[in-house]
Amino acid sequence: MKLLKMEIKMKTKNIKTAVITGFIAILTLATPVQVQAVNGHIEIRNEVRKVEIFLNKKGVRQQREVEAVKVTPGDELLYTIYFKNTSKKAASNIVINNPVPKNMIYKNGSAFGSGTDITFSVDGGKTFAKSGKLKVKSKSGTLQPATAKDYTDIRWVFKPKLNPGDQGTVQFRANLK
Amino acid sequence: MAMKRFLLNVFFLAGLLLPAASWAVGTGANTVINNTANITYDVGTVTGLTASASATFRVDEIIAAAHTWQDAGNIIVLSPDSNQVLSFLLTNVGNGVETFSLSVNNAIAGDNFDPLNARIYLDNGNGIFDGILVETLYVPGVNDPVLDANGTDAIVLFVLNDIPAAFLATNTGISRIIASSTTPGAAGSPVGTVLAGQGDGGLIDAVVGTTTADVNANGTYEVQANPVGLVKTADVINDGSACTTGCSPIPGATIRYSIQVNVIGLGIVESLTITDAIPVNTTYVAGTITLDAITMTDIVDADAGDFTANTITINLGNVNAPATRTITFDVTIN
Repeated sequence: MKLLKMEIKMKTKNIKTAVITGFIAILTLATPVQVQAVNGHIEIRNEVRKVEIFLNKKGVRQQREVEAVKVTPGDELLYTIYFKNTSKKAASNIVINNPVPKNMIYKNGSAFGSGTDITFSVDGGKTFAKSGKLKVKSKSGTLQPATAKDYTDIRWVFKPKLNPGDQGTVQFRANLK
Repeated sequence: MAMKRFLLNVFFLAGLLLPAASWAVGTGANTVINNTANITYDVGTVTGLTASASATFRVDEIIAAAHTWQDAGNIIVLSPDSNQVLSFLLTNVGNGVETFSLSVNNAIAGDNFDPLNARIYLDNGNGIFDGILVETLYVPGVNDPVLDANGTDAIVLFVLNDIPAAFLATNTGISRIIASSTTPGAAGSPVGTVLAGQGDGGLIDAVVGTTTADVNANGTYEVQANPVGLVKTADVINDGSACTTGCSPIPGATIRYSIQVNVIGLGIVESLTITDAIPVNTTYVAGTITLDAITMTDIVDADAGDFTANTITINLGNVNAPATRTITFDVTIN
């Protein structure tokens, strides 16, 4: 009810677009999928780069990240998710979710994010647990420890508050099947 | 200078593809891989959720094939011989649809002869050569095999060759079938070569895979080791009476042994030697060795036969198969 009041205030104060935003915000409390329309508090950007292994001048193998073109099966890709608080208030309880893309296998140990607590799902994002604590059913029906290839989703819980104007990044790597 | 740079590029590309070596089968060419992240948060009392735009790339085509000889061992042939069949299996282990051009090279080192008159037939689907009237003769550029991606599609290929004359038993001849991707620039290019716009559908690039875009397999023919058959018979030709038939094998009687040597098959049997020890309780009758009704001396000399150490030896030398030779000698019963 309080929220509703606040949003209505916005409506009376501001231009027409704000009215629409306000209504959707109220609806989405029940159906979170539509909350996307609240854009404006936190911006999120997602980038993919190819990890290339090359031989340097000394003949030593090194890695570098290049544009994700000429990608063929087996190649490793680096995903970086940038998020920035574009509102005028600090944001808290920040959770970033990323389903492992179809046809990709998560690279074990590659998820990274400063100040984040990283968990994984093996059931399409219904439940999350730390790497090493997940179990999957084997073909014979018994539970066995999950491996990186079983991961369906990655979740980063960003512990600090994100102050207005601040940004953060999280990353993971995956191989193309 | 331009050449040097090209070589460096190739070297570099070969290096970057090293980790992909174990991925023979993979995501199909042209597949679009999307990734979307979302973020939930609280700002004041508002809970928000933002989804990112999708980060996207498209999978390029990797050109790779596998070619294996299917026969369990060397194909045994005669010399000369014709229409001898070698079986091969060509599999597309790339991630896109690929067309392959086929050829045969019989001038391969490490064998004794070069098979002749090579022809390739495309299997009708049962994996067995059903004869040249049933299988389809391959004509380059006309019925080049088109194979689906990821090892799901393979074709059995039959290479037929004729075998040249006058080669010896156990001599071998190697026939090599070569399958080359028809993607322009693919065949003969080093691993990792990028062929711009040549991937499936023309939207993507093609990359020459770790097996390279032309693969080959060798099959081997081997000239049959000619079986040599010996048939030995004994007749009592003289028992002291005036017998002509039905002579008795009594002491003093003369026995004529006859050895028929049958060399079967085709080709040449080298250094064929027949030896026969004189049976106990018998004595060789000097000067009775014959080869094909021609009398041989008992000493080791220019003729083929001799009697040494109570043994008859006939050196037939190199015998062109098929052939039959007949040896006789006489003994008396002690």
